[in-house]
Amino acid sequence: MFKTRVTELLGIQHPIIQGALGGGLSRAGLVAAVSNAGGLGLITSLNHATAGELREEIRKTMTMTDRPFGVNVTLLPTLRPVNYEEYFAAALDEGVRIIETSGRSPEPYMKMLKDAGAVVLHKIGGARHARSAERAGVDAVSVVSFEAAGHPLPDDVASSVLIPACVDAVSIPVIAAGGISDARGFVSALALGAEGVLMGTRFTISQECSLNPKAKEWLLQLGEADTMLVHKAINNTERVVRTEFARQVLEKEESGAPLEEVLAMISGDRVRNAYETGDISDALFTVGQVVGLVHDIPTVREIIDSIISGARDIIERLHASGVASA
Amino acid sequence: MKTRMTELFGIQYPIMLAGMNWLTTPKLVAAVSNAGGLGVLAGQQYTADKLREAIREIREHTDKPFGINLTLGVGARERIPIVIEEKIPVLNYALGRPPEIAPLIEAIHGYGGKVIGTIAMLRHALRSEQLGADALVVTGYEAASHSGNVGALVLVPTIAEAVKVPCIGAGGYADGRGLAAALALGAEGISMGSRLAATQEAEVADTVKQTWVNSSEEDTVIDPAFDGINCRVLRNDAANKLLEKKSFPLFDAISAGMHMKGALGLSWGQLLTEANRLRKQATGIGGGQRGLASAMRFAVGSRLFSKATTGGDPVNGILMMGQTAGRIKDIPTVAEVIERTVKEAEDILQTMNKQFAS
Repeated sequence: MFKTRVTELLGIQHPIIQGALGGGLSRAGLVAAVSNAGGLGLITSLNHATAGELREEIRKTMTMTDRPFGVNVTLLPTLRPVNYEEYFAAALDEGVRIIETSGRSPEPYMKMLKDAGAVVLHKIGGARHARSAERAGVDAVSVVSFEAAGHPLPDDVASSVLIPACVDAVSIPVIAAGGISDARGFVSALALGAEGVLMGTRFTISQECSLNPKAKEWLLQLGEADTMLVHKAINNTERVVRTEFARQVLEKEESGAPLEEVLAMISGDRVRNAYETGDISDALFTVGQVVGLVHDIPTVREIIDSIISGARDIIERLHASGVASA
Repeated sequence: MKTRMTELFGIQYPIMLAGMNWLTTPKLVAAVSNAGGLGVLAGQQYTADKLREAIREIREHTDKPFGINLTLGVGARERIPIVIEEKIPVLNYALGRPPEIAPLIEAIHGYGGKVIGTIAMLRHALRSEQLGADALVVTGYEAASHSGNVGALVLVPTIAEAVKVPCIGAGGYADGRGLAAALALGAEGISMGSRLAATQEAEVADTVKQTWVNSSEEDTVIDPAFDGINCRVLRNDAANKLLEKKSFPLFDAISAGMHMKGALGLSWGQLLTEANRLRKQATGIGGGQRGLASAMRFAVGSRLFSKATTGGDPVNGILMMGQTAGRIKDIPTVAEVIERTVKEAEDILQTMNKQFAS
C-alpha cells in the first residue's frame, strides 16, 4: 500500500497506472490483471470499431475484476470520423467511472463526464497544457515526457525537468508517464513531485499482454538508445523501435510525400497484425526509452509488487546510509 | 549526507559543479567547495600558464577538495602536465580516446588524485570504468551542452546498474527533488551546471544570469549546428541563424580560427596542428570522428559561446543551456543552493517513507 492523492482519487492500492496501449493490446485480460494487482488498468476505446464493441470489452473486464479500471478516449484526429460522445456514453453507461482523455482538451465533454460522476484524467506534454487541463476541470494530469512511447510533445522536455515543471504549474495531482519501469523510476518520479506513475512499455512486456511472445523476446534485446521519434512532421510525435522500416517511414514523412502514403505505412491494421504475429518487418513498434531497462517478462502482479517492495527498499537504504536524517 | 560520492572525494554533500567553459571561475569553484560540494573549474578556457595561476587561486580561497575539467583533444596536451604538477585533487575529463585517457588516469592516481569521466552513453561508461575512472558523470538528454538522446530517468539507472564505480547524475537537476530523484535511480550524487552558475558568486554578466531565471524548460534546442556534435543551447537569434544555415560558410570558420589562435595563444603551426587534430578527434557522443565541416563548426561555435558568456551577450552569442533553466527562479548564494538542495532531498525522502501505510 503506497498512498498518494492519486490512490485516493482512483480508489486503488498503489499509484501505478497501465498506459492505454494501441494495436489492440489494452484488452480485458491485461486491464483486469493490473487492477487486480492494485493498480489501474485502462481500456483503449478507439481500438474498438464501435461503441458497442467497447461495451462488450468493458463487460468482459468486469467479469474479471471487481476493482476500478478506466477507459481511455483519445481525441486526436483520426482517419475515420469518430463520435466521441458515443464512446464516453458507452463507458459511463456500463458503469466505468474513471475516464482518461488525451490528444486534445477534454473541455467539450467535461460537463457530460462530471454530471455522471466520473473522475477525469488527462494526458499532457507541457506545463501550459497542465494549466489549461486544470482550468477545464480534470482531476489529475498525466505528464508525457520525452522518454515516453506514445506522443511526447515536440518540445522534447525530459522527465527530470518536465515532471517538477508540471507539478509546480497545477495544484491537482500529477502522474508521471515516460521512462518508468521499476522501483527506481517510481521513487524518482515521486521524488520529483509526481503522485503516481503510468507505464506502457513495462506492461506491454508482461505475461498478460496479448503481444506475440516473439515480439516480447525481441523487445528484451533492445537498449535504451534503440528508439527514435517519428511523426513529428504530422504533429503526432511517437517513439518507436529504430528499425529499417521506421527509418523508411521517417524518410517518407520528411520528404513531404502525400499524407495518404505515410498513413498507408502506419495503418492500425498493420500494427495489429505485427503485434499478433510478431513480424516486425513492416510495422512501427511503439516503445519508450525505458525498453532498455526491461530485462524480463513477469506477470503484472510481479511487476507491481516488485515496484512497491523495491521502492520501500530504496527509501530505507537511502535512510540507512545517512542520506536522510531520521 | 553520506554517499559513495562524498566518501570518494572527501566532501560533505553529494553535489558537484559542472566544469562549464567561460562560466566557472576560481572564485565560484572555491565557493562550491567551501559550501561542502565539489567545485570543478573548466581548464579548457585557460592557456597552460593561466591554468596554473587559476589552480593556485582556487587554493588561496579554499582548502577543500576541488576538480579541474579537461576536454581531451584541442590544447589538452599542454594543460595535462599542469594539473599533474599542481597535484589537483580531482580531474574530470570529457571526450578523448583510450591512448590519451589511460596514461592521464595513471598519472593522477600516481599522486593519489581521483578521476571522473563524463559520459552520455553506456559504451563510453563501460570504457571509462575499464580505463580506471573512479566515478562517472552520467549526462542525460536534458543537460546543457553535449549529450546523447536518452533522458536522465532512463540513462542514470542504465549506467548505474552496468558499472561498479559511483555515478553522478547530470542534466535536469537543480534542486532537492532532483537530488532525491537521482539517488533513487542509483546515482550517488548530482552535478549542477546552470543552477550553480545562476548564483551571487558566479562571475558572469547579469544578462546571462537573468536569461536562466527567465527561460522556461521549452526554450532550448539541441543540434549539431553549433559546434559539430549534438549540443543543447538557448534557442535565441544566434542559434536560429546557425540552424538555418544549410551550407557551412568558410569565411566564418577562418575568422573563428583566428579568434581561437588568439584566445588559446597558439602559433600558426600550432593552430594548423590543432585544426588537424580536431578534425580527427573522436566525437565521443555519437562515436566516429569529426569531419572537416564539424571541426569548422566547432571553431565558429567556440567563438559564439564565449560571446554569450564572457561577452555577456546571450542574444547574439550562443549560450549553452539545459532544460533545467526552467527550474531556475532566483539568484541565491552558492551555499544557499547547496543547503536547500540537501534539506529538500532529505524532507522528500522522509515524506515518502510515511507514504507507505503499514
